[in-house]
Amino acid sequence: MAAAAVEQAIQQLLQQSVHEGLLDDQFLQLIQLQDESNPDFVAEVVELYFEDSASKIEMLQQKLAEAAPSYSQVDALVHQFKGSSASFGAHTMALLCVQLRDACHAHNQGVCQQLVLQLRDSFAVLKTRLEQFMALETQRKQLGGS
Amino acid sequence: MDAGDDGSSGDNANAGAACSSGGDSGLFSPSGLRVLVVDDDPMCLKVVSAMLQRCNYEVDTRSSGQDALLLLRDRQEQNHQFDLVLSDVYMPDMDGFKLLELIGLELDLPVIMMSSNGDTDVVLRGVTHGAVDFLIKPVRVEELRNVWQHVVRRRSLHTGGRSSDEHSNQGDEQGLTHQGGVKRKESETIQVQHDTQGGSKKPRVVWSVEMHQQFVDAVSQLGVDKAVPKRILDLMNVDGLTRENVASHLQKYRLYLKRAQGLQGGKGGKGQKASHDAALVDSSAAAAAAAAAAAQAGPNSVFAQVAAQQAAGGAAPGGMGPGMSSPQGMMHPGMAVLGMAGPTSAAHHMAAAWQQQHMAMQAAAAASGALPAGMHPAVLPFPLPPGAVMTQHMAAMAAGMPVGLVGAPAMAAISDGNGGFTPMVFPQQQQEQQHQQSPQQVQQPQQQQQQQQQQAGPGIANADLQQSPSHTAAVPDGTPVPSPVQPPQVQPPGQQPGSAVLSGVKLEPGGTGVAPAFPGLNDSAMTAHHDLMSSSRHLSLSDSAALPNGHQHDGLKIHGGLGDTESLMDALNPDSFLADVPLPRLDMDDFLDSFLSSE
Repeated sequence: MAAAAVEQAIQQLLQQSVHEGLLDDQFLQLIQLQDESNPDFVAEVVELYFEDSASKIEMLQQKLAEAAPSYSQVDALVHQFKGSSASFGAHTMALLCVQLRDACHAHNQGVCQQLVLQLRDSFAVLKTRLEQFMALETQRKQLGGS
Repeated sequence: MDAGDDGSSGDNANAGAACSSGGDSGLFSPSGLRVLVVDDDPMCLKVVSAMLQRCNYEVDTRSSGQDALLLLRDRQEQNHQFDLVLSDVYMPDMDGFKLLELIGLELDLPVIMMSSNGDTDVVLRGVTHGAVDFLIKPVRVEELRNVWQHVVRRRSLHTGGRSSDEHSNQGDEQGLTHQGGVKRKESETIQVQHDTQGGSKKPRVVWSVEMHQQFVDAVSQLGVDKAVPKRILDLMNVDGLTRENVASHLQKYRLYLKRAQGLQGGKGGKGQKASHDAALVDSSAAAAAAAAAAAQAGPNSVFAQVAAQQAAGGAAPGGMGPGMSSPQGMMHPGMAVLGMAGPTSAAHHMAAAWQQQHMAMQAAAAASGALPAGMHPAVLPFPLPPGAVMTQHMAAMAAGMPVGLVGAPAMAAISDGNGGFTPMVFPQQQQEQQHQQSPQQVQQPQQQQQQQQQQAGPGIANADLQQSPSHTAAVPDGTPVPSPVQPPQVQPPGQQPGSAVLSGVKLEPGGTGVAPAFPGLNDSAMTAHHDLMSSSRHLSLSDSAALPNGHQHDGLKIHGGLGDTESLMDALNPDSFLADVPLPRLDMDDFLDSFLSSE
């Protein structure tokens, strides 16, 4: 009962997120990886993405604020950010990273900075959504779900 | 990292890491496959790990290429090596391709590359660097589920099909599924073994040069397009060799011939005969291709060595061509006919093979800049009659190596009878017309055998020599072998340097018996082989015990061996030719593998 309701809420949240492009199928796959041998996988991976992204965004902001940014460094960062976002299933984030990479290759500092801001905002939205998800997940597990 | 958990895949009747019950039957399970994942991105590392664990693989991770290499080397020493490596392409400390190369060179493990960059050129780089697969991120669990096939494939090639090759080839079709719970059919394929060392987990059939020679002879006799493993095996008559071993080797050999055709720019012929023909004429392309491949593969790879041979050239002069027409009109690139349609003998091949080895060394040295390009006269421990011309081609043929690889018409040498050689240059055009030249007389050389033992790497050649009393034996303690015997004579009439004519190698008679006719292998040829192989052991210099890097290997491992000039110079110095230089054995099967995976 309660468990079913929670499950349903989770499903709805996920569907909505996918619909909005916040998350994609990759995230849905990740959820499947959680099992008895890996019981906290989802929480761990979400936590990891939070930390990783926050740190990258901050570094990007710093580097792009410099007078003469090192675009190669920025590029390396963005490349990794794109990879981690894609691996996580953070759809919008990954797309923004692609755009940021292009701007970086063009040495377009202004556009880069703009995109980093977008990344920051998008991340904030994603983070909120994921926190909701995690709350529901916790409930579900407590109610006996796996 | 977590060990692969077998408990969650309840259907695995035979699950478990060391599930080798040996033989050709039994249930196949990829469970417990040991995978190392290398990625600087912790997220990716975590996700891929989890996916692999879901596939019941045993996973370790490292976030840098350097750390990965350290771990891999440790594991190698502990006899507890991984089965497979997955590596990201773009890593800050070490380029993924570089890591891939190093792993391939040192450890011979299958490596799968990953990247979020799926550009064709990137993927191509992966392939040319020897990756067995290339995955685009984000990787899906379904893609990872089947990575075991790369391990199995490599193992089945290495062991010459310790289980049935047919089954291993059908591995994918046997309906082994691992979707949620594992189902498997009662079918027999290769077991995943974890009880032996290194990248090659089972005792391996080592395809020595002589064995490969026998193989090639047998194939020639049967016809390269028609040879079947059973008949080859019968002809080879090697104890302990199975039909499966031969089948696997044959498969590789055929692939090799095909690729050699490609390497030659494919002169539009069909089949291996044509590939061979093409090889003869398109030597410069071959040399270039080989050089490029060698450059890529690095100086220590077998591939480079072969390429070096190419670069140093050795067009078949005339009648000495690889795969020369035999009386039967059979041409086969692997045919170790020393340039004549007449009878030759196994011993010829060995002699030529030795020379090839030596030339290869020189070529390798030249390629790595240690020596000026060009050939140094080699002091052979046995006499070649004057006028006899040794070429790389011949030597390659002798070794049974597809001569498709031997390229530029630069190099050959005329024996001056003192064991010295004078370089010759052969115009390319003459090769073809020489094909038809009938061989000059071929004398039965004394029963000599050089067993070439060669490690990948600008090599040191090791030769086992058995010589008749009339020649000074090569002794393993480094006593230099004196020049053998025959005084130089004028070249046979009608043959001139530069005219790509070859009388064939005439070795001094004095051995036991008469050269059996070739290509019709007969009993005495095979017997000769056997005699030679068994009796030359005492001169063997190579023991796995003494590999330069201190590694012990069952068979050939490609690893960065002697790359430095000094060792090369040592090796090339005739005086030290048979010194205590430990020389690993050349495993022709590994050579083929290396070639096939290096392109």
